[in-house]
Amino acid sequence: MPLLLTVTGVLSVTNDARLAYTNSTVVSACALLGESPVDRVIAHYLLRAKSDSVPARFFTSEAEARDWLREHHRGS
Amino acid sequence: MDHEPQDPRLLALVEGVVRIADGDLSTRIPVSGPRDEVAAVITGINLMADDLQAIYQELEERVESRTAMLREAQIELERMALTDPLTQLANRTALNRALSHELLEAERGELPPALLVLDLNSFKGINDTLGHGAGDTVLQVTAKRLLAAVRDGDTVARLGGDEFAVMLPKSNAAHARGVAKRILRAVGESIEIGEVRIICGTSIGLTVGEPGQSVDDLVMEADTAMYAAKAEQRSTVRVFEPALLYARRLQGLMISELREAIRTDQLVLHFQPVVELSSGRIEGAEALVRWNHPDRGLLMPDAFIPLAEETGIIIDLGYWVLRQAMWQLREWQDGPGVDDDFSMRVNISTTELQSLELIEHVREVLAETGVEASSLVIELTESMAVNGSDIDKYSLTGLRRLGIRLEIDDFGTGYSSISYLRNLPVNVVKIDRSLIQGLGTDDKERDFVAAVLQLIHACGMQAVAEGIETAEQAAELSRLGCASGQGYYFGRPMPPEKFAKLLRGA
Repeated sequence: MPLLLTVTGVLSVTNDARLAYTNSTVVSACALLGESPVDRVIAHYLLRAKSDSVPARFFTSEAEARDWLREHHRGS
Repeated sequence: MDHEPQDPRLLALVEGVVRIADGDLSTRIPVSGPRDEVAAVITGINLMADDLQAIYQELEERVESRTAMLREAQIELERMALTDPLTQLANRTALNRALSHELLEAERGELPPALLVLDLNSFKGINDTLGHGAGDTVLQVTAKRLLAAVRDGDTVARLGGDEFAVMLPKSNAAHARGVAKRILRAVGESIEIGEVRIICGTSIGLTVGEPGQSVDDLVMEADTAMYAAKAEQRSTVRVFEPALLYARRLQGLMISELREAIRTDQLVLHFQPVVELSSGRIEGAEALVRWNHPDRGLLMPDAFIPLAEETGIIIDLGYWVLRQAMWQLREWQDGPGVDDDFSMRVNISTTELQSLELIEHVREVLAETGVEASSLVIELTESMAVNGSDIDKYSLTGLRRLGIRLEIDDFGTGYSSISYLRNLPVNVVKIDRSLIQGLGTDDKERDFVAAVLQLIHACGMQAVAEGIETAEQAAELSRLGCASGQGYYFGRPMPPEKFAKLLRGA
């Protein structure tokens, strides 16, 4: 299942939140959406935690994120 | 120079980084203001601090658990190094450690420790006849009984083989003696192994330490006392006293003297004639060993054979006797006055019979001296012939195959069962002196000896009577069909020169 995760405005990520993100098994592709440099740092922190088998990327445009997710959904 | 007003968050950032660098990984820098690059750096550092803190914590937990495992392993290793694996009792190292501790306490004014050393009376026999599994069971049962007989603070150790020790901290002679008696009773009870019930019994040596005494000294004293206990009688407690040490040293001296005696031919053989009763002809001799001690004069076998048996010297001693006897026989055979069927009788011990080299050695001596195997009669005890081990049987069969005759030395004093007689692997039996004592004066005695002789003949064996002291006894035995005899009436054991004269009829 494709996942669009908005990290805009997030202040920090707890260990539990990070574990929940990492251990989700139903996600087939994950687009992280944010605006500011802070969002980007947080998004990449999460990206590092996900295994390589699940494609994941950071986007600043929701439309691009949705397109990318759609492509991956179709491909899988 | 103009300075733009500084972002206060940068100051907080520097403060935070410094605290994290100092090792305070719980530091988090507050994120405030716009979500710009500064906020991004702060967020990044906070996230990295999260990571670092988690990693450190996991590492610490892992180190802690590994350290605990190591400590457990070390404790287990130490326990193993101080424990006897078969009985789970303390081992010699552990005992020495406990003793050393208690002796130190004694130096500080506490009561000294008492040490009991014991071994099982018939353990070797159990191992030999019932196997090592049975032997192990006996050791385990004994260990349990020892533990049950002492207090919690006492140390029970297995020193090796069937030797155990009990250390009683802060004790005295009276208390230690009480414990020893309790152990004597406990270990003296029977043990069931499969179908077999056995009673081991033990001999205990006891000593009470003195402040300033070394561990080795204390162990040696208890050991010495134990050997004295064993020598005295079965199942007894002996308290150490310095005189025992002297006796032990004397024994040690005697052991080295005995070795020396074999090497330097201090041993001598005396010979007692064996006579054909019907004719009075000397048909053979029994070789009997004596020790011509440089200081103590001529020693009889009882003075040194038990020691030789105990120390294994009996093997060398036995070989010496055999070789010497065969050379003597050769000399007599080469001279006049000796019939072709003249035979030499030599005694062998259980220890020799159990030596795998016995047969080879006998063969060697026969070859070296050129004596016919049929001229050699080997004398053994009834118990050796009846209930020996496989090695004993191997030795006996081997000797018979060489053509050597076997003779039972003490017939009539051991086993009461008659049925075993038929299966005895021997040619001749020597009727014990006790059976013919009343012969010549007592009619009942005559009937009894007649019956014994008939029994021996019915089993296809020949009889030699020993201890013949009168002409009447000799005549009576001859009438009853006993072929041969020996005893003071015919001649006491004598030096070879005298025996040679006897042979020549002088």
